[in-house]
Amino acid sequence: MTTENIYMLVYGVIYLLLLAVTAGILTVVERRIAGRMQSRIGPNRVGPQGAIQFVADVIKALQKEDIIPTDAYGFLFKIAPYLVFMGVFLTLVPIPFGAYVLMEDLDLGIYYVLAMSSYVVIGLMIGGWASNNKWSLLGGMRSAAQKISYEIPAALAVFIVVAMAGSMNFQKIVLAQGASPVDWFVFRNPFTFIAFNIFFIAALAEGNRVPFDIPEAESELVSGYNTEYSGMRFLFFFLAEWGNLVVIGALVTCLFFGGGTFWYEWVVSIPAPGREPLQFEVLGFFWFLFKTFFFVFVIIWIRWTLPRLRIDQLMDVCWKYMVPIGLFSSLGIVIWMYVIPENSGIDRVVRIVMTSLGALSVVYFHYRVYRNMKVTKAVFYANPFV
Amino acid sequence: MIIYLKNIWETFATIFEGMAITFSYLLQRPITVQYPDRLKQPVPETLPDKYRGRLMVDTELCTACTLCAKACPIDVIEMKGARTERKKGLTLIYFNIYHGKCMYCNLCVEACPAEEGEEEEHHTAIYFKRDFEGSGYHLKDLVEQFIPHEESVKRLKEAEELAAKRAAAAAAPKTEPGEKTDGGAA
Repeated sequence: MTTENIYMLVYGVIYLLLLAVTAGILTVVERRIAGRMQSRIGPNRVGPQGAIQFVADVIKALQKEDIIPTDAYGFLFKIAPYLVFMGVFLTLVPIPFGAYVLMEDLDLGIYYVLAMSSYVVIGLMIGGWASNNKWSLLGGMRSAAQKISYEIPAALAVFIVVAMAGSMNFQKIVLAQGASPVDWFVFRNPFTFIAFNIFFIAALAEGNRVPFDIPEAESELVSGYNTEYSGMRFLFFFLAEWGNLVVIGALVTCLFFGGGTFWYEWVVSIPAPGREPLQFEVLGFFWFLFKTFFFVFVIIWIRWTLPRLRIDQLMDVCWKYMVPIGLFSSLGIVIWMYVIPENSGIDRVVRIVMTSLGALSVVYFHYRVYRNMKVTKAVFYANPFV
Repeated sequence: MIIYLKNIWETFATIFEGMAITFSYLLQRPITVQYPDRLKQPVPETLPDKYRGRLMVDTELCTACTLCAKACPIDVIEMKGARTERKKGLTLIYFNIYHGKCMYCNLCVEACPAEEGEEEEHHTAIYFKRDFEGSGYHLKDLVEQFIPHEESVKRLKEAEELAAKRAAAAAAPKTEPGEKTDGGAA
């Protein structure tokens, strides 16, 4: 075993532990946010403000009996949760949390991510089939249909980014963008903005998040593919689900929001990009985490806002809207890049206009929030701890 | 084509508006309270005056007239009064309320003739407290004895003694007819 392999092993273990703990904390955060959005408080008894509620949940799940149905296919039933978790965890490998904070700098990084996220489908299908339960099987089939469908718009959106950046390497995609919003891919031109929307929606659908939580239909399928699972195996599905939030957030940050590039050039004048001094590297790392967790918050926020889609609506959204629009914009981006060269006058104007529109929508959003609070005569209370 | 574009626009517009609404709730204080242990003041203090909580009886004030027990449509109240030497009138021997049966109809309170001043906490001998926390693990935990059992036994004995004495006193004049006595009022 070479030194490099040992480093990779150590990094892998650190990532695994961090992902598990982060997923656990996210469950608590999600429940607190959900509580506040529904005028409740949420879990706040275990530890300070309920911060270690997830530890209590895990201990409870560990104490439960590990039930395997008599007619279930034992081996596949056992490995299904780990396949799901593996599919989520492996996608973290090429994501650069900073220029040096990544497990492996893959040249085909984004292709690798798309490929590895398919393991989740296999895991869910196997879990549903091996349970020997018709509801589980239906849930697994639905999830396979959903995820395979939504991989196509996701890949189309990724194609637009790859065309813009000229590389599938995450580091190069991040470096092709800049620190300020005008340099981000999301505000580059209309097609990348469409690509961002398509990718975000498709990522939600691939992560089984509301409004696309068809595989876990409580009302129709008991609970979908995880009906027969109990104890720690059951928890592994959820560990994967919340770990996937971090992955989605990190992917969106990398592909469309400039990654961890910090405004170092505003502070010191160092010309070579990607070769910042260490302190700016650290700042960039936290800047990346900030963006990632902002998107995690948005995903949680969407979950507690929208009702879920019906299965036919789900397929309509994918095949009648997202795939044609994705094809249209991937054609459009090629023409755009041919007609309007980068850093030309029109390109700069378009960037600034797009960024201003984005800023305007944020301002309008704050106005709507203010209006809603005024109409309901609500008292402002932003303290997250009650 | 127009419908197609309109659908897309409506999707984003409605999601935008919906997210604004949920975000506005994130900036408000939760309306729920943390009931048993983290309250600014106990819940019974926040309830209105005429709130019907647990049925209680003031055994000092009660005249053991059994009107409440008779008014009760479901026999929640089980009581007995008898004459003892403790006080003028009837003394309560026992007074049990079956909280598990009570439906808080207020008929017993309306029937009660024993009244206190208006400024008191309760105007009648039998009354509803504002306290409502009375859950128990067993149905028999919900029977409240306002006179403890030993005390009931003692009072019953006293009442029997008095009754025996009176019976003796009542029997005595019969042997000497013509002589008027006030045996009954002794």
